[in-house]
Amino acid sequence: MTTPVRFASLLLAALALLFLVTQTAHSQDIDCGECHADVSFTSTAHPDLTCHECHTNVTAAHEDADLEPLSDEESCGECHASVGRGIGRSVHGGEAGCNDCHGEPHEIHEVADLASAVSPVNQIQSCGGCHDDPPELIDGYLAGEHGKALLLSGLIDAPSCSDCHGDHRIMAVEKGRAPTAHGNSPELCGSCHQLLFEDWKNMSAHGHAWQAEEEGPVCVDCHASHEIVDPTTYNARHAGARNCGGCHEEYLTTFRGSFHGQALHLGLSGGATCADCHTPHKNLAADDPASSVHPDNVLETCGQCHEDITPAFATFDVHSDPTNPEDNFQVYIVWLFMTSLLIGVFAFFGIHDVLWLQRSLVGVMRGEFDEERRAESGQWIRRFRRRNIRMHVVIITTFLLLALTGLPLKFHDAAWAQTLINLLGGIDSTRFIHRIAAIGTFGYLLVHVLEVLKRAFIRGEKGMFWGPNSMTPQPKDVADFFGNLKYFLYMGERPPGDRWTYFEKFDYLAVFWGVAMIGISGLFLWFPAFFTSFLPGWTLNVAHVIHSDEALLATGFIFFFHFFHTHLRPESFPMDLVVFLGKIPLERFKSERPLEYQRIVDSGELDDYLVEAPNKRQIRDAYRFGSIFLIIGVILGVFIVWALLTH
Amino acid sequence: MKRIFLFVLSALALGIPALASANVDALMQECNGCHGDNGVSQSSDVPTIAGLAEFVHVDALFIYQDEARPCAESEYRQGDTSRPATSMCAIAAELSEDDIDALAAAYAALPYVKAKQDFDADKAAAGKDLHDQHCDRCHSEEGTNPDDEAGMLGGQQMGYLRDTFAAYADGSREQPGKMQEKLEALSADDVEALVHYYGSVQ
Repeated sequence: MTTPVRFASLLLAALALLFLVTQTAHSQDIDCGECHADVSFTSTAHPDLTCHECHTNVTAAHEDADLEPLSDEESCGECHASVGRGIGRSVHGGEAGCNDCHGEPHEIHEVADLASAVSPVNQIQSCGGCHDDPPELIDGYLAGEHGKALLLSGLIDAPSCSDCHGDHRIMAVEKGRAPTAHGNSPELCGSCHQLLFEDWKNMSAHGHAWQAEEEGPVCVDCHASHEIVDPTTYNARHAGARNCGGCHEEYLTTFRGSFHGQALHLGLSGGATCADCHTPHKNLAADDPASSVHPDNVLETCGQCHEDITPAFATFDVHSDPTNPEDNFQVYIVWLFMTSLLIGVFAFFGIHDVLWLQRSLVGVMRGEFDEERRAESGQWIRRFRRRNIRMHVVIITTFLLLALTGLPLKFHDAAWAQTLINLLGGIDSTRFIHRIAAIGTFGYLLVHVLEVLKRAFIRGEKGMFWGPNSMTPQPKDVADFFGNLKYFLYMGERPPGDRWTYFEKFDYLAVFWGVAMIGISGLFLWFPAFFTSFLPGWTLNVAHVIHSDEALLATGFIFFFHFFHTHLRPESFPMDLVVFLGKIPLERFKSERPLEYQRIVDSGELDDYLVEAPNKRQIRDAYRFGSIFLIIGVILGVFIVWALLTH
Repeated sequence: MKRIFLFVLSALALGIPALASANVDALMQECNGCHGDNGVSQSSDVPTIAGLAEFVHVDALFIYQDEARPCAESEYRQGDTSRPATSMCAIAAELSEDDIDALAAAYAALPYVKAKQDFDADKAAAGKDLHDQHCDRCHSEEGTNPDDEAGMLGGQQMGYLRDTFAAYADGSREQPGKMQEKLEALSADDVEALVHYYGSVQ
């Protein structure tokens, strides 16, 4: 080849090369940074990429060209083609692009890098940027155990959004194949919680149902999906019962009626809930020999909390329905009896007192009680000794404490129950007070019985067990009852009273009945292990029924009928103070108890009985003292009615 | 993250026989008629499909449904070989989305078994250099890492690999733009070297 030809060829080749190269805006030839100096490229996922590899539509002439924004397919899809197809087939198809999740293109970090927009710690913001409704999704996750494990404890292996939902191929939850579909929840959760999954799958009735593809709860039904709370907290355990009860309604009802349910509801954190007895992941029907509540195993189950128990303890029916004779016949009979007693007593005295009320109101309006209320002579007569007054104060105090601490437990779902418990210092404090007051009750009963025995058998006092000064019901009481009814119905005079009227005797004797019933059953409930060491477990069920029903009987009777009989009758209005002062005006005494008055006069002992009138301070103190307790009682009475109406 | 996700998917796959109907087993019997027992191919022109990433399976089956990939007709290789010849497009057309998911999960959970094949050592050595330089970034660990969610290359049937390279070359099969650039730069000898390299991974 000649030199000019060689030179021309080389020149042509060089020009061709130059031409070729200038047609492509390869960054080695075009310095993008010359104009785009403000763009910083800090992507750790794409450290070696050049501008053109993503900006595929940039040519040398682009300075004047109007460049359309590149689609994901045209930029990211140059390498990640199949991913784009995958996203297109997922719920994000057409909704989210690569940068919506992976962040700004010049700052895309490697997925394993914690700074990446799709790293576990940043996913919440990335996904949450769109998925913030309902707030429970993000807020719930952050407040739940997974969120806390990740962001508070720094465990980067704790599950974040993509661990459950997937990354590129996120399917709708309703789709059967989605990892987050209801039926797939056990395997999804079980991929980390392997041991629990094995237990649940093989050793729980719910797991068996799931394996057989039957309907039943899976992980998310009990634990929720986003706001997964610590299941060992009081709140979670308390809410758990409601959760189980969503399907097992009748068991929830009987659980709520039991001591465990009542106390748990009011804050007893150690109280047993469903999972404590049935185990959380190995729950089986009671007739399965492997079940924690099978008769052979239930002693060990109860023994987790109750020390030193015998097999009889474990035969106590936790889910007892006293109203069902098939459940346990003895319990049913007791319930039937107590309920009949309640209805009978309340009906009897209810009618009696309503009739009395209207007669007394009419009597007051007619002025029938004016003379005794005026009490012109200013003379007062003793009715109670100091020890009687003190005893009554002890009775009031212990009774009201028992009522205040006991009624919220019985009516635990009443609107006022939790507030009252809180005022008393919480459930533990309440139980303590209740037991102290119970000891006080046994105490005064014992003191009184000893006193009666001393008076009768040591001092040889006459007339204690029969006669006008005795509390024993006698024929006159029957006559007086009917006489009173006639009087209420304007068909006769008020029967002449003696030292104790029939309703006062009832008040007195009912305490023996009440303290015996409620006291003994209370001891059973306080020392269940002891009593079941020689008695069968159903006696605890019986004790529960008696204690609960007698409590209603006692408090209801005192707050409504006793208060009316002795303190709030219209003729005594505003309040009969005799039991606090120990004395009443002579006129009143003559009017109410003419027979006793006559007997005192005939025996010539009237002067012994006449006492100084109380001074203003004593009367004021008696009113104050009495009012406080009456008001507490009336409030509790209202609470009882409120609870019964809203049950 | 990916590993956890894949583990989840594998766990799901393990659960499929328990959960899904016998349908998946029946489908797999069909697939294994060409792709071999447990998805491990015994024929040079048919790929091993066991152990590939679930995502790759799903993607492939959907692409076959769209007929966006060559689907040659083929006789059944084992089992009842009297069955009429079929193609991947025909098979994919019969599959529902759930079937595709189920199959993908099932095969992804099976172990990837590298084929025992004859290869030329010199060509394989040249192929290794090419692979490390151009392909390893997306087909890591000699092209046997399912986490890459790209096709398995190392240990794959060599006849199938040759057919695939040809399909990419003549444009009858789509590929990512980046990959296209690299493949277009390869000569026929380079392609053959790569095939022998992948065949040498055993």
